Amino acid sequence: MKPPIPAHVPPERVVDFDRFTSPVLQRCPHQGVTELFSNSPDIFYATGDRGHWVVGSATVARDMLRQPDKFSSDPVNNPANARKPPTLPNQCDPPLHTELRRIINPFFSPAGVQKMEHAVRKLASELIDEVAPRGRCEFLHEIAQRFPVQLFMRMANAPMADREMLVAKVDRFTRAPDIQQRLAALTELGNYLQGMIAEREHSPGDDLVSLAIHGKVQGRGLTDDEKLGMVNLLFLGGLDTVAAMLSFIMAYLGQHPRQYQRLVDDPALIANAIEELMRVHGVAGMERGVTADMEYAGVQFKAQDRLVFMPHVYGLDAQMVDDPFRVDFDRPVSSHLVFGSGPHRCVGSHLARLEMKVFIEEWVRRIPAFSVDAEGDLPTRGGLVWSPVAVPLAWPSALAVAPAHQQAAA
Amino acid sequence: MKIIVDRQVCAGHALCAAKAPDVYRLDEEGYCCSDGDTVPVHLQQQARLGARHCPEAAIVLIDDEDTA
Repeated sequence: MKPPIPAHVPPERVVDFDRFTSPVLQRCPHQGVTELFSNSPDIFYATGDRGHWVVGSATVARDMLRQPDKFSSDPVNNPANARKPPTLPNQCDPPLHTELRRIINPFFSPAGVQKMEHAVRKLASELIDEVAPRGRCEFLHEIAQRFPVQLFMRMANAPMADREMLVAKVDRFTRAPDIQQRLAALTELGNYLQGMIAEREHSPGDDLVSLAIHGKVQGRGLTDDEKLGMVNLLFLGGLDTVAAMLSFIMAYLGQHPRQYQRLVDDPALIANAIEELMRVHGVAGMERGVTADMEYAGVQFKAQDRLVFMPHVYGLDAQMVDDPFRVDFDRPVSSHLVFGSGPHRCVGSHLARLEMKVFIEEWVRRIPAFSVDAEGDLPTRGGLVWSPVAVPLAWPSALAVAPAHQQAAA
Repeated sequence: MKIIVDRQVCAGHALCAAKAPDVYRLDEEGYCCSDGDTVPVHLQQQARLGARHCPEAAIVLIDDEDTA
């Protein structure tokens, strides 16, 4: 049952939209939601998912995300998104946020992720070599849910045997339409991670979980809730987002052979191409709560109003990007907010970029042409993180090249 | 042109160095440490691009007479 629309929301700003279940999310969601946003007010009130504001304009969103004093990440200002304990550092504001983030930043800085390039390339090569001779694969499950996930599990020194169980929990947290189911999935994830935290407290290693829980803020160690909140978020971010993004990108390249051919002919173009392909295939969103009654961009907000941001499609906003649906690997700048903006901008962005770049570099070396093996548009799923349901790919296996391993590792 | 970085505001997004690698330097944790650096004329356009991409608007570029 839908809750009533709050009295301060004017009827002309109400739009029938549910970010988990709307039919527009089930095929080509980037196109459909961009159309919906361009026909709606810059900031509108969605009726689904218990009712909330949606910021549909990229430029308005960017401005709001840079004002944490007005649009806060602390669930105190957004009770509808409260979690026990809060996930961190995304569910808190500066100055605590700044200190919590500093704990994990060295792992994810450009210099930090550069150290991982060899391992990233090795795993990408192994996974592609496994499917290349077959001439087909279902990309989402056979590769995307293994590649970034196994790398993350290794960074966290988590037991690889638990991969599928963890991916399933994160999937439920991210895409279950019912908030109670989402929170239950987070509790289950937390119960599992508590064990890992307890173990690393006694015998810390050089892994990401040990680093996160032994950090200090305001001159003290982290509380138990802060430790769990940090580790929960690392797993939520590490197990789902790159898998979804890379699947959208590979589906696009399979459907656009001439664009793919450019990358085969000139792999130096891949880094730019990824930026452009990320722009049109955003996957993750975020929330904020309004800190006080105020007027902003012509909207009257009340304290604790809930705001949902959808960077999934901000890169397709014609006010931010010229001719946004033209995918052009030669654009000097591909403007997007795929990693957010402001203090909470995604800490994993450099790792995500590296993973996708290296993966496609290794793919073009082995598979010179491929296509999507399905009729029509691929089914997709909405939620906090959008994803294809499956990405069946096919290629002439006789064409697949198996590069020598020492060459692959070079 | 001189670079001013508000190190209290810098959150280590590292976009400055990604967009303008010849201008901005990062410390080991990924925070910009180019505060006070002078930008030679041929890199000023790159410097502006990098500053524009800072999600915190932590970078200010000052045109001075010596190096403008």
